[in-house]
Amino acid sequence: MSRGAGRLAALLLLLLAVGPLLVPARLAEEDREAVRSAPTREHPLGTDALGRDNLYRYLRGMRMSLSGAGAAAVVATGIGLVAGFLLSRLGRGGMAFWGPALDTFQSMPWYLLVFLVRAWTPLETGPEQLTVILFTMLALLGWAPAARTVGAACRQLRQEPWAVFGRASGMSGVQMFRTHYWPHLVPLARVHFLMLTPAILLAESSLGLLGLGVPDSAPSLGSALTDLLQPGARWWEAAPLILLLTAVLSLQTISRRLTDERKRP
Amino acid sequence: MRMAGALGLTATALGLLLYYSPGREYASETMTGFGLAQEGPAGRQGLEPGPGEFVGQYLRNLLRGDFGYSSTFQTPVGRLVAERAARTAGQLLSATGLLSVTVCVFLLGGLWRDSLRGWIGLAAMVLQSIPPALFAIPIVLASGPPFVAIALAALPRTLRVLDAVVVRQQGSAHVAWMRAMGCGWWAMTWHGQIRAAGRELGESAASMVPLLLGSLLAVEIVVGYPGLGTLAWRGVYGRDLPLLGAVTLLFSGATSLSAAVAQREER
Repeated sequence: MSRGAGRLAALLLLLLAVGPLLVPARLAEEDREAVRSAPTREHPLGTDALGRDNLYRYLRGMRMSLSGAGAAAVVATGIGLVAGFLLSRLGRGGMAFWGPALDTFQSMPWYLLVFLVRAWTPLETGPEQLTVILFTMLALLGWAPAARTVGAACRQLRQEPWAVFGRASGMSGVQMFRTHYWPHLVPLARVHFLMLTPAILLAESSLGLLGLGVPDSAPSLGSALTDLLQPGARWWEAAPLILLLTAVLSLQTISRRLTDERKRP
Repeated sequence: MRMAGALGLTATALGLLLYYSPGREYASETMTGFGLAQEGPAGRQGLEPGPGEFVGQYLRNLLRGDFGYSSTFQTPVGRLVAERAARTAGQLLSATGLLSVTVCVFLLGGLWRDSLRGWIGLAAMVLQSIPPALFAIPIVLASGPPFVAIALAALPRTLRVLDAVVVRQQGSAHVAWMRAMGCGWWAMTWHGQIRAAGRELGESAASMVPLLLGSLLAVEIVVGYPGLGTLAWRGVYGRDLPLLGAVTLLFSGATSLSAAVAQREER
């Protein structure tokens, strides 16, 4: 993976993140004179059934989904780091219990768990709260792979001579983590974050397509994608799919670039 | 053992969720105070059952085959799930069959040559970035069977896993030896790569089950196929937690079983 591809991917991501700032503010208003209109000079990607500009909706949805997925990935990676470090300190007996428990957690059908929580959520819950609940759920479901990798890395690091020396000279667990393990774990956490973000983005889009994601009043990529499921969907309504593909492929490109860098001696 | 643990953990979590949700009397088919009015210690004292007692009773009911009563469909959940599970299993098996045939075409039909591998990998990467539900759109437009969309959604990951397995075999000593002995392409592919990677392929196939189940749920909902996915979806809108719980348990059992098979192959 070339350095140029990684930079291009990062630039694309940045453009997607700041997209809504680049379009004129007038597009945020509903245009009741142009309901479900085709692309025009005023509305480059047409409008929806409520006269909202599609370009603005899609870009805002993209930013919302990207920031939500990013925040969820940060939380999941953080939990994974802490859990992985704690797992690495367990003895054989502890691992005999927590290893299978982690396997079990990872083999849970996440779709249905989100369904369950969604059904359990009170009806009066607002769109912003539902959005927070959804991304929190996705974060809580995504930490296990990071915990497993970090746990294995920490166990390996503990065998290193400098780690043995640090422990022998009386450093506490927190000190060891901060000064010795953390610098080694940062690149690993970065790769996990970049792998989790597209996964959460895809999960949010999938749930949005099923009508169980972020509500339409708080635009997201998932709710924008539902335009494609409407009878008589038009070709320009595939724009959210292109945005999603661009974001996911860019994140995957950057994560692959970082993984390659880590492997390089 | 691990599977029982996974199911027990899921069932306990479900019991707790049901305890703290409205309409918890639906957690039992009979709906008579969740069988606690006469039997349990809390019931004898005329008190509401505590979470522990509730979950215990819920687990006992599950073991007896009582999955609760569906408030959406006004039918016992067990009967509803049994009806729909057969249809879903049919779709899942058909999708697996179609996927296997496609993989065989790729492997044995000469599509896995070095000149094409890069393109296949790129196409798989792009297709993997599409939500599974979108694969159902062409199926809806063409009025095709849902299993085609399920297989399509699972194909990119299957191809990437296969690529990793087959490529690893290509670099192994026995394939180099076969090449040196002048074996043909067919013999090298079949004997040197596919048969040699049998266990690894079995493990990969087992690990694909959760992906297939996830795709199945999404595709069934978009297509409107009367299977477990649509049942669960209607359960969300009807806030039918016993129904959702039963489907979750069933899927959890299937994924745990596939994980156990994959780990056995790995060992």
